[in-house]
Amino acid sequence: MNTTNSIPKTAIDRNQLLERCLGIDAFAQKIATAFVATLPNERMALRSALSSADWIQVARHAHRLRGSASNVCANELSIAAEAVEQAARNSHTESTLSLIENVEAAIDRILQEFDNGIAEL
Amino acid sequence: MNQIPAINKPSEQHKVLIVDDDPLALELLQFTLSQFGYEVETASDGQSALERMRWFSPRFIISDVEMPVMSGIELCKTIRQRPSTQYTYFILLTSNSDPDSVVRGLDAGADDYLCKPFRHEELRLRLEGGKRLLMLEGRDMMIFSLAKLAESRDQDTGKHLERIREYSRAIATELMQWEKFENIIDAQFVELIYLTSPLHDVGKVGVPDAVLLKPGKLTPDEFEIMKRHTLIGGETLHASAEAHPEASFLKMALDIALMHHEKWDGSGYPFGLAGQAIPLSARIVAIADVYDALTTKRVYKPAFSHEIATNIIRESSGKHFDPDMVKAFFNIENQIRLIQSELDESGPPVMPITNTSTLESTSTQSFVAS
Repeated sequence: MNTTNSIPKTAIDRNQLLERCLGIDAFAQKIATAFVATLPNERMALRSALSSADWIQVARHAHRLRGSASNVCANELSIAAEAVEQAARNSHTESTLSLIENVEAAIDRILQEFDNGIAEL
Repeated sequence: MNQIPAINKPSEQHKVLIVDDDPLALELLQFTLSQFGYEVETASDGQSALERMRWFSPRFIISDVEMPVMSGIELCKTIRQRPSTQYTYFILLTSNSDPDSVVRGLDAGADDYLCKPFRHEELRLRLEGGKRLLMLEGRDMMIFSLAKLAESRDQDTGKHLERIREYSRAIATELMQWEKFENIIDAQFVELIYLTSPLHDVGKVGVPDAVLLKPGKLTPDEFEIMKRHTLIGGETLHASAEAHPEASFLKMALDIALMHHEKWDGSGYPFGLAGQAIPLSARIVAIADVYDALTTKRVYKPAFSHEIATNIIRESSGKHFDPDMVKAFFNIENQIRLIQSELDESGPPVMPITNTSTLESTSTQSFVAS
């Protein structure tokens, strides 16, 4: 688990997550895997609320995504989801649409890293 | 890396209910708290939390704010509004981006908050802080339980202790606002007198049944035995106060138990102390105790009306009671009356009479001694 500055940060900060899991690898892995498994559904729910222009639901899903992402130290996704949540709550329609792309990109990155085994803890 | 922190055996003080609609957050918190030695239950919203509480009696609740069905703030409000035999320490899980939820949560009765994502050390320390508060609650309940136990031998005193602590607190609160007592009575004093005044008669555990439970007037010899309850209570609490000098409540409890039958003019017992030689706490409880004895039905007397009782107290100013205590008592007479009526359990009082001199002999012996 040693990381140095030369190693680029992963979508899920592994060191941080391991620390949050009291240094227990198996539990960190379990939490990360469970989180990644929720992402397709979370993305679908967010897209669905967006297509219905239901900003309350968009904010709610973004809020949920932000919370769970921060729990597993998926910091990029958490920040992106928070921006969507705020924009949706303030009914900033256009900026929400643009900010949602950041969420999509962050989700893609996590899924890709998992597929490639990069996020393997 | 894989070393698991020391696990303590869970106890009642270690039962935590976590409420969050995010299963991952629940799992992470549950895991962490289990590692800290807590017994943990989970619920996914406020309503489910209330259902869990029916069979799992948590001392702590850690709850998310935003949840479906019932929010964390609604849950907290509901818990605070329900009658409960024990306090539940409530911690809200909030996000940095929503500082308003902290204010709303504290306003709803939450004790503390924790920002998400939580940090282990912060979580542990906040729970430790909560445990300290719950331990104080345990101490207060234990003190009152012991006082109740001592009082239980005396069959007709009912809610005497509840009234005494309310009267004492009310009088002390009034005095706190006087310039004269500005540097003597503070909020802590008021809190302590509420806590310790129920112990005033704890020494009665050492009074024989034949005297304590005797229906009717005591003989002079019996009265001497009854008077010993101040010394018995004082000696008991003195031992504890000496062993724990840092516990200020024990010192006040000792003063009250030993000297609440002393009189301002020096004619009381056990030492015949006069004036300010009698500790202030004992002077406050003295008036509360006598007023309660007068307005309560006992085997040897009916319950006197508020008017009769207050006439006796007024006439005893400067004799039995510190005039300042009497003045404070009358300044808050309506409050005293309200406490009396709310915690009353005897039948209707006898009609007011104007001449109270016939009561003097009784009030200076039977009432005050009990």
